[in-house]
Amino acid sequence: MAASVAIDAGVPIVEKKYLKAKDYITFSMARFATAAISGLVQGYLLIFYTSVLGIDPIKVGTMFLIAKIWDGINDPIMGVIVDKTRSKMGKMRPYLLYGAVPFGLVIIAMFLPLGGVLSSVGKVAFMYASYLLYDFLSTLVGVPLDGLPAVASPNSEERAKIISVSRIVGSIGEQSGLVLYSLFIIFMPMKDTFLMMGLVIGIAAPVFMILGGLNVKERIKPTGENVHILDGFKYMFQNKQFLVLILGLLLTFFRNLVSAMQIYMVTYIYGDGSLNIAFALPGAIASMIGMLFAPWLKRRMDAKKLFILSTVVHSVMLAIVYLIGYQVHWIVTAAVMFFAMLPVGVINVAPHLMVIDTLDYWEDKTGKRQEGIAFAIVSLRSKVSSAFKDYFIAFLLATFLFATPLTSAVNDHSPWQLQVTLDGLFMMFTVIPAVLNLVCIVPFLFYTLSGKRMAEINARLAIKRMLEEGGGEDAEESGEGKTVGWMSLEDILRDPAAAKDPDAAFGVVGRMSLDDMVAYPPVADKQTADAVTEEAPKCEEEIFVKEGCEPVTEEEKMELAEKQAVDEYEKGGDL
Amino acid sequence: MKKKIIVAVLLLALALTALVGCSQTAEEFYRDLDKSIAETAGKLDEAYGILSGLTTYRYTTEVYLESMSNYDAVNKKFPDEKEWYKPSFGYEFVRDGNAEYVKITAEDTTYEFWYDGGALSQTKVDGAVVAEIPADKREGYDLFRGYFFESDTQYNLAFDIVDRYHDIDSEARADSVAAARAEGILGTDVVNFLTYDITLNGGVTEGWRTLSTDDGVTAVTGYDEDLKISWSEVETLAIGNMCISLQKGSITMIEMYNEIIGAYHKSEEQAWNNLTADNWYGDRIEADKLILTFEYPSKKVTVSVPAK
Repeated sequence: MAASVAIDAGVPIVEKKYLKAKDYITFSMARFATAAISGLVQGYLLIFYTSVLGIDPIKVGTMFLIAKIWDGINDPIMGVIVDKTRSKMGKMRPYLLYGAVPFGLVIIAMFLPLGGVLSSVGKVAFMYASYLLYDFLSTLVGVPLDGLPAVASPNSEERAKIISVSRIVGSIGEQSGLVLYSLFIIFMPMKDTFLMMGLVIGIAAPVFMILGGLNVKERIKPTGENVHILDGFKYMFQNKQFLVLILGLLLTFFRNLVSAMQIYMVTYIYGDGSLNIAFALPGAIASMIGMLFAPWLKRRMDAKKLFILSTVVHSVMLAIVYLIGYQVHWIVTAAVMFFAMLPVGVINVAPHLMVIDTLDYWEDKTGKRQEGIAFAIVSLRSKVSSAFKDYFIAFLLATFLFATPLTSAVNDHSPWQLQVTLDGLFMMFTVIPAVLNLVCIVPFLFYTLSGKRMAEINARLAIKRMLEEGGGEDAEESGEGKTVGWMSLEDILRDPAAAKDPDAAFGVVGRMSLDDMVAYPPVADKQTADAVTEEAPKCEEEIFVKEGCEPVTEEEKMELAEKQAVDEYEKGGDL
Repeated sequence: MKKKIIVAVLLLALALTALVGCSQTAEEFYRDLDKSIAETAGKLDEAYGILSGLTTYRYTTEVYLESMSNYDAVNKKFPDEKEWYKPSFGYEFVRDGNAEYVKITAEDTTYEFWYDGGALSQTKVDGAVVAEIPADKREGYDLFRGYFFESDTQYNLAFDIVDRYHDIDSEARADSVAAARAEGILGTDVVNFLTYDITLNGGVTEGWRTLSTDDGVTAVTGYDEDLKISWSEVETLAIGNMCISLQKGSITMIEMYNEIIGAYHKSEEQAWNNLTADNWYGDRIEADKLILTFEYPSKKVTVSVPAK
């Protein structure tokens, strides 16, 4: 297949498309499945343990924290295993395919209403055993799934797109539990409702995951270095930008209180668990709208600013909900929550793009690309955050004297909650996350991978991959190449300052600055298209005059350009 | 690789050792209850001292009641379609020294009572002075005093339950369990009591144990470890929860929640052996909620008995 990225003065940079529609669809289905499981576990497991099995919240919270000891072991191990894996299917997909069915079975087992069957010790043992197994399988499947976009396409734009699309679909998946709960609770008792939720998601999710694993191919080859168990931690501390990102994300767990508290809000404050979907729906829709607008907003500010601004807006809106109080009709609260949840969609998408940026940054800096380890740490971060959230909720529930229902003895019985408990539940839904959310901004102040710096890194990596692939001969393409800018890569490498000069002669340094290319790809496309038809020959001529070269044939031009690019790349100097 | 697996397994085993201590023996369970009640005793005395010293205050409350009207208590059967009797009424009480005032709003009718030194001096229904009103309405006089004081020196109701729990020996605690907790939350001191009282079939209280460590007992309350109930032997389980909130030395709120859980059975098919079994359960048959919100004289609040 012909190379699509031509290193030739004045010829547009072309990036291939690798992903087809079915890749986006099936990967999003897999993401939907894992998000549905995650939403089910994060949103309903605590209330299942406390309300159906009748286990003390503090014991549940302690178990969540202890489970993180297990995560601390199995996540980095999984990362290393993934990075060491070499198979025909790649290093990620086998785990997705073979882990899906056991994962589904464990989900079903977790929600079995065994409160009346097991002894008190048996219930706690069951809780530990099923949750630790879930945790292990969640890592086995989750780490490869998170890492798959990073190797599914060398095209950074496609990677961003598949992450964005799948995150949006995933956010819908996260609401599966909510939809199922609200549906089943109408027809059956709470304990059967949880069982049915486990059955539906436990059966459907593996099917979706297997479809994703079968379709999405791994197209970026492993970098081949020998990986050791401690490399994960070394990587995290060596890659400072990744560390900063992980620290920032670690602290985002306060935000998750909002979604976790929704069921407590409707059950205990508004006194009707079946309101759950109606109450949560506006926020869920708002979150999805936020995700849709995230790329649009990203063009107007970098990811870091976007993340910080969204977090602040979210906090302010939650504070407003708190000031309004819960004595109003639930519809009023749900309506205001719509606006509070708008920024959450943005907050959910931005960090995932940043993780891949840190991978690119690391590959650019060291030549190593360690998706397995990086996403294992991201997965570990997610679970640690989730454990912090669960423990924090359990701690707050105990502090606010939350009364554990007698559910297993008394069918679907929810006890009265004290006024101080109701006030506490409302604060846990609003003002507590509003204030503590702001803490996660601090690490992001030290995150520097944005704007021009990231564009430069991407440009260098594009050249590297092109050279490694021999012009992309072996790459699998899905269709026509896509023009993303009007500059040769050597131009950028040779004279980056000039690249930002809008008045520079067209064809010498390009019509657009690198920042503009990154920030406004559609505009870049258009300008490139114009340039291809009108200005290309002039560029070709001028650039070689400027460099004092005398190319004769097309082959010579290519050879010269490649040599220059490699020289610049090997120097590793600042651009 | 084997070493790594062994290390991983050992660490997992270490994590699972945390299971030890998750379960309580019956002795530990009752010891913890005793301890919690003893620790709360100081706050209880403080709250009682404040309660008995109140002379000028006002409180309002919305009273919530619900009762399953078609529960078959004789045959211990639940109806397929539960019907609930749910009256609701508003209540206001003002005390200013010897003068007291009660206002009850029930089903669109307003009853007002004026008392002087404890004696009823005037009654109004919907604003019109009347001589006689139904006795059940007059029983509503000062819920607060009624619930908490038999006389000015004697604990009543919730406090009494705690006292009773202390008085009974550990063997007899099988049919009554109480827990207490006092702590400060966000500037508010909270004194909370939770009680479970079980009435056995036909008033029989001897010969067997309702709260059991026996794993053969089918239902588990979930209240804590080792607390189990054989619903086939139980008539009702009463759950009482009282909470007093104090702020800056004043009572701001008293909450009371009471629930009656009735035992019932139903015939269910067992799919695996094609037989029908009579299974026993418990569910709510009655509940009431009473939250008293107090106000005291201040620059913003005037507490005085309305003119007759």
